[in-house]
Amino acid sequence: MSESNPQAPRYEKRKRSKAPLIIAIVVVVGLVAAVAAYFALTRPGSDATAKNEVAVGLVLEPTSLDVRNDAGVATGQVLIDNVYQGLVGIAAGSVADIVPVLATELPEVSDNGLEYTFTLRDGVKFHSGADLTTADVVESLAPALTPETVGYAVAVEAVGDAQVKLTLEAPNSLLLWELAGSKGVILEGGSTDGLQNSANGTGPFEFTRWKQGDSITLDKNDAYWGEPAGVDRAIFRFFPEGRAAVNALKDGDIDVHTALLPPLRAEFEGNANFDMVRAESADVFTLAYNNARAPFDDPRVRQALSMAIDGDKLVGTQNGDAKQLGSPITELEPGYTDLTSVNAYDPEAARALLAEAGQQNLSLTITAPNFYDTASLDLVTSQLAEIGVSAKVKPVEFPTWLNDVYSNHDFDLSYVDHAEARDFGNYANPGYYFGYDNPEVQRLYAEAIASIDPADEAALLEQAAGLVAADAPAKWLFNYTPTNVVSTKVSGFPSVNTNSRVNLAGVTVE
Amino acid sequence: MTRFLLGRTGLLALAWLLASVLIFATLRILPGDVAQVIGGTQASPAQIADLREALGLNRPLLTQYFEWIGGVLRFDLGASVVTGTEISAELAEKAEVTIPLTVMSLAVVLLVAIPLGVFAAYRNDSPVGQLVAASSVLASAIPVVWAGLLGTLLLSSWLGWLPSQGFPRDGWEEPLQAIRSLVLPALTIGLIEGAILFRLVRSATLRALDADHVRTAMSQGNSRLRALLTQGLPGVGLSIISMLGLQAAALLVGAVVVEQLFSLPGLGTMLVSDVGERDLPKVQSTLLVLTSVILVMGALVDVIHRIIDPRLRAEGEE
Repeated sequence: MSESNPQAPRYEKRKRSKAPLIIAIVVVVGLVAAVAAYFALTRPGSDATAKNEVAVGLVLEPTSLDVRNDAGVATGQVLIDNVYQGLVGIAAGSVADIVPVLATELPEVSDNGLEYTFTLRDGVKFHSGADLTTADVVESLAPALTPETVGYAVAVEAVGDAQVKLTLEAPNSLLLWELAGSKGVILEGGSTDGLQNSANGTGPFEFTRWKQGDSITLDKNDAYWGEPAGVDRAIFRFFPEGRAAVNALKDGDIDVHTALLPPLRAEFEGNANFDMVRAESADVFTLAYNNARAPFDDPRVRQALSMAIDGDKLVGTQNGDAKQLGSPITELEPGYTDLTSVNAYDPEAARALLAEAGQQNLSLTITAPNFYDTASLDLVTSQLAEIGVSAKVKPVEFPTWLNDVYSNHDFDLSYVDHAEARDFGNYANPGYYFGYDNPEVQRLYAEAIASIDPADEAALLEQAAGLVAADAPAKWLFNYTPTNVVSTKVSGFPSVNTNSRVNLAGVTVE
Repeated sequence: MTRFLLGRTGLLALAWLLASVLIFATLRILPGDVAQVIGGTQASPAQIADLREALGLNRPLLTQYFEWIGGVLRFDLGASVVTGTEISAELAEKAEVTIPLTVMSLAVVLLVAIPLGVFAAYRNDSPVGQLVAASSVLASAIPVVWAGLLGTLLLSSWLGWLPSQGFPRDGWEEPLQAIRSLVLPALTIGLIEGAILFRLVRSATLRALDADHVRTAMSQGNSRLRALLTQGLPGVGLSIISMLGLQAAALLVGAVVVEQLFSLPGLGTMLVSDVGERDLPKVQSTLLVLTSVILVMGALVDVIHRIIDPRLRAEGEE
């Protein structure tokens, strides 16, 4: 310890054991592995299939459950047939054939076609437990069938305890069609109170729960008047994202996915666990011209645009989930004939027609709701370009389409799916958004509606459709026949018209 | 401090009121209305007009605004025009998905950003540190949708560890399933948002390493790491806290996109579909609630920041 000779301090890095670091790494890796192993081992088991239930994936969710007042197609798709029933319904495997449901048989119609008498089934109960009476039928139908809602007056009255008579002022061949749809469902006491988010009908399923943004759950109605449902529970799940629906199907969360996006077909091709079924439908993807506005008030311009578009190629854009159309009437509706040769693809003739009409440098806007696949519109714009028409697609939200196009008629061309069957009347209504006004078509349509014999009706509709096809108020791009992917464990899933109705009464699950 | 709190509260109330006016007014610019949506493509103009009257859409806008804001101040958010359900009940159900999702994403953000950010700054001169920094630029540039698809492909389709979509119908009554279904979405948002926070943490740590007080600590014989941990990081922590308010808003926005992608029934999915139905009372109440949450969080962050950072206190304050 000599102060005069201080020793330089020695610095040395402390040697620390590496053990804590190694332990820490082992612990972290172990934890991660444990979590991963846990997730890997606790994958959802097969207990879901042990329950006797079917889960169906739909694209659109109902905006509300008010089946009487909500025009959205999804409400009827889920609730009509399953929860709500009418005196008559749509036959399985068809889009517009009428069969009796709550009536014992199709009505007796008076010779003049004005009086329809229905006999009610015995022993029908609402899910609330109340018995179905003629009063329920009268109170349900009288406010639903008025000149404001269907365009003609209908007098509804009970005849005795078991019969109901509907009286028209003029024969109307669409009455039974209306009765098979949302206006014809029978509500307890006719009341729609509280039915925006609940449901009380007579069908094979009872409404259990609506988890908005996710699913609607229906349970088997044990007191059902007819053949009981084949499953104890039916779940509809909603997938605005087509990709998520595909994943859900592969995860086993849903058993059926309706309306698979055409580009996703490859996901299931050759997969033995699923069947791909094409569902016939009345969906018409319509490129409507604003007939009331120049230059579309000139039929030559409309015909030229229609002739510029190749229907065959359009079907190709849907990966085969489509059929060519030549008029707004689809194959399964009365009045159908193949009119695809009218104003068929002919770009040369189209250019000539435009020249004749003095409209060589047309520049147009196509207003289209933004939720549709754009493959067909891409083809339309490129084919219009080939005849020198520049068309620009304006994608809008659906409410904007309803406001601009449907209500205010402010558009050049509009692209939208008309999903309703039997909607030819839109071409006989000059006030409808595309503003097509042809007195001869209107006369033929009125006659068709007033005819008592279905064969006469079909013949008149066919004639009217021929006129409309030649006049080209719109280009009927294609009849959409969506592909449904159905697990092979499911049998009895409806194969037709599932875009409008999904009747699950006959569905069973292995 | 009291004056600061009073001022901050006043500012909060003013911002909230302004937000409510903005939300209400902006939504009224949207074309189309709920009557048209309910009426669809089969209703006649007269039917739509009747419906519009019945739903009260024709009342003066000022009346509508004051009825709404008056209700909100009495904690009554109103009811959906379309389904008639109470908006507060609907919000509570959807929050069961969105709040856990946001919290889980925040956990991912912090777990990714803080350790990696500090590490990358500490090893700024080494290739590893540079590589981490470079990959964060890449990660923050990935669109959420694409990241979600990649994650699904890897963790769900190939490895099969996690569900790729959906949330249990019974919600938190199946807690394990519920958590499992949120992992992938939380990772998706968390990694991207984490990459953004990472860059902040890294640059704050780099500044801290150069700061005088850290150098002083090193000159006193502390190792670089020790000096950083004891003297440098508290300052970095303050920067992180002041970022968290903004981060929370970003996470909520991220949730909107990700919920759609993974079909989770949360607030984001609900908002998108309500806007699509023009259910304006529901949309405006939902937006106002979300705005309130973000405003309050921002204010809380300010207050906390002030409490723990002595430098922000005014002269004479304790």
